[in-house]
Amino acid sequence: MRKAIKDGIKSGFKVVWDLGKIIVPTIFIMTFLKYTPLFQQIADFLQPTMSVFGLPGEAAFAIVLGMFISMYSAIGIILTLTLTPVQITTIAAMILTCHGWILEAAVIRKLDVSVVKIFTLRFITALTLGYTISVMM
Amino acid sequence: MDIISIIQEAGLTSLNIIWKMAYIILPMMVIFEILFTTGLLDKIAEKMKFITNWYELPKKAIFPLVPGVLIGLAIGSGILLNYKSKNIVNKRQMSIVTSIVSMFHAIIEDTLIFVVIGASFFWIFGVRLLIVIFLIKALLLIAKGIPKLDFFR
Repeated sequence: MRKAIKDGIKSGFKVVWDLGKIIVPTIFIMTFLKYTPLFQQIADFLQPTMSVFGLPGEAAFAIVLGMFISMYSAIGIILTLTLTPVQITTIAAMILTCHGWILEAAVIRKLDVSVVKIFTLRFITALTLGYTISVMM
Repeated sequence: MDIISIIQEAGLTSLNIIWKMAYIILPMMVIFEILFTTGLLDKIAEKMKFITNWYELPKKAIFPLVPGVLIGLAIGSGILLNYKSKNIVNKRQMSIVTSIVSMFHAIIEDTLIFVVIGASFFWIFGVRLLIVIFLIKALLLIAKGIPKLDFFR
């Protein structure tokens, strides 16, 4: 039992250290990118495609920020928009299925699993689900 | 936004995430090691076999799976890294677990946040649960039929 607790603490620290090593630099890059016009430019480019999902053009920035950075930064944008329950559900489902590319990709890479495959799967699922909700809900 | 405040924000976010990880992962890993050495883990895994069987995973894989889905990607990956060093799962099984957890994680916290701001629980939880059950299964069945198209390879 004592050995188990010791091993647990040891592997706990190891995991926090292993993940921390990749997460901290990623957060620095992410925070820096967040304040460049990069994501706004991607969002502007994608604005016209939002109508496919029954969303206003401004929703593009929320989705881009959610997908690249984090769900929480997307929520900040969503709260500033006037949206119907269907639109909120559409954005929520898309972002919940596919978010935090930069950070989560770093974690998945650590596991030695194909990041491209997993994010392609998540992205296609997110788009399909978003479209389905906008049509069916 | 000047560079100093960006560094400050990144620093605070990092500390926050590391702290959050530490207080979830450390106790979880201790519980995990206790369950592992006492053999309790096998008993729990046996009871939840229907989940791991569905995804063609070894019984023990329930452990990165359930905490990952319920709590978050970090704890799921943490236990998975531990399994990797203990040689309990192979590369393909890791890929299956990661696909599931990556698509559907931290469901309590994340679903609640969006329900609070007005999203439909049925769609963002119910439908996503169905997707993760049947989409991954479909990919596994395809892999069985046409090994060349194995998504988890």
